[in-house]
Amino acid sequence: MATVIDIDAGLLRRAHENFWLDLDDVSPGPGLDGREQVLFTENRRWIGRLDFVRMRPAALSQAVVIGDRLRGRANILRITLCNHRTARYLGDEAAFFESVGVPADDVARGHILFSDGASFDDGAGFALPDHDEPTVVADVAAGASAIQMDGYLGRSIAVGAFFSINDFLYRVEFNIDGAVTFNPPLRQAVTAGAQVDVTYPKVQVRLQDKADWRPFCEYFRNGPPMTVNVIEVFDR
Amino acid sequence: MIEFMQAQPEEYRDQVMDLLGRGAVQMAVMLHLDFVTDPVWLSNRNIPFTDLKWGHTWGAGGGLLVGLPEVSGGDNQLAPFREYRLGMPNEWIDAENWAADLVEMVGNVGEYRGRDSGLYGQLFDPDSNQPVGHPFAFDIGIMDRMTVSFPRGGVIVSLTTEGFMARKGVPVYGMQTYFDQKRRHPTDEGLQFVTEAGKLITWTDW
Repeated sequence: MATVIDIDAGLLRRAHENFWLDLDDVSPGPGLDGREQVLFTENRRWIGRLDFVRMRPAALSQAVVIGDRLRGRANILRITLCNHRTARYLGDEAAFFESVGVPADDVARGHILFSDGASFDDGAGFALPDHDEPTVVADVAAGASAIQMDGYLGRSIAVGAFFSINDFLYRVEFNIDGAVTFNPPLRQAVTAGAQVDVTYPKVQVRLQDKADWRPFCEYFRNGPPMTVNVIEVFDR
Repeated sequence: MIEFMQAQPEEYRDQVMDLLGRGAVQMAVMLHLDFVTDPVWLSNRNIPFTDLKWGHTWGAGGGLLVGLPEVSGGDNQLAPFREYRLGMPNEWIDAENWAADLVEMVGNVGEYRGRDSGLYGQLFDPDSNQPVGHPFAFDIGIMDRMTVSFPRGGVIVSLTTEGFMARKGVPVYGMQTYFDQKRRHPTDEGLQFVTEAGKLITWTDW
């Protein structure tokens, strides 16, 4: 199978990570009454436009090496997306608690009290939110568009945020305490206990056209920021 | 439409009728090729589904199906050949001798010649993404020829299938010559001067 090449998040400027769902549909055209019947099927796949701008010298050489390893469209890029729309744990516990709104007093105390400051009879409160990546609660078949997640990051994942399972990317449509509805439907069956990547969702992509490979090779010569179009890969 | 509905199980007929009348219809196109060792059930969805008639899982096929033939039919039509364009099997992507493997695959006629093929459609409920009713056939036939060509930077595998009624109505000795015609109809002198005329014969249609 093709080689999967990880692309360092530092190479990509966050504001330019566009990923959207593309699809094909057909229509015979509008009828004489102006109404139209559209035929569609479930063939949505992620399309991305990656902008490489203002790279550090180290990142520049990395980009060239990635170009060499890509061998045109033969090999696969694994992209880590920035998921700033939802709660995530970036390695700093204090920053995590602050970002999800746990007061410093509660953090120091080690548990959260009721809103009026009351505690349980033994003086304890609610546990602080855990920052482990969430897991899937039950087995789900491919094609499903709802899943139950466990763990604070999963139960509180925001609408519009990304998550990924086995490098397949999904976007949250709806979330009630971890019962998440999402698009596109599950690419692959998942088993209970499988990890869901919320902090660093990943997606495997291939270059959309051979022309998208040239920028990797010619970066040094051309200098200006380069744009590369990519399309989701389904092989695992 | 009536025959179409009759082929659907009774409990789905109302729902199928409703789905067909909507402004946006979710429908998958599926292809079954009954190879001996590795029969395939492909669809143009990128997520597999299980049909309600046979219980087959119709998978995405990883880009195996590249081009569909134009399906035509009706009165006054000979049942024509269909030609499908296939991509390369996935596991061969990084094989050193994939070209040789392809030629071998095409040469192995016992694997495909005379075996079933079918092109189907399947309606889906757009809300639940689940199939509704049974698949319906666009074209049923048997696989006949497979050819492969290697243009620069690519490969094209063509698979020809023919209907069970392929070339129906075409005489076995198909030439419109005097001798062939005499063989079919010994008393017919109608093509006596064909060779001299050197023209395409078009029968009048009274």
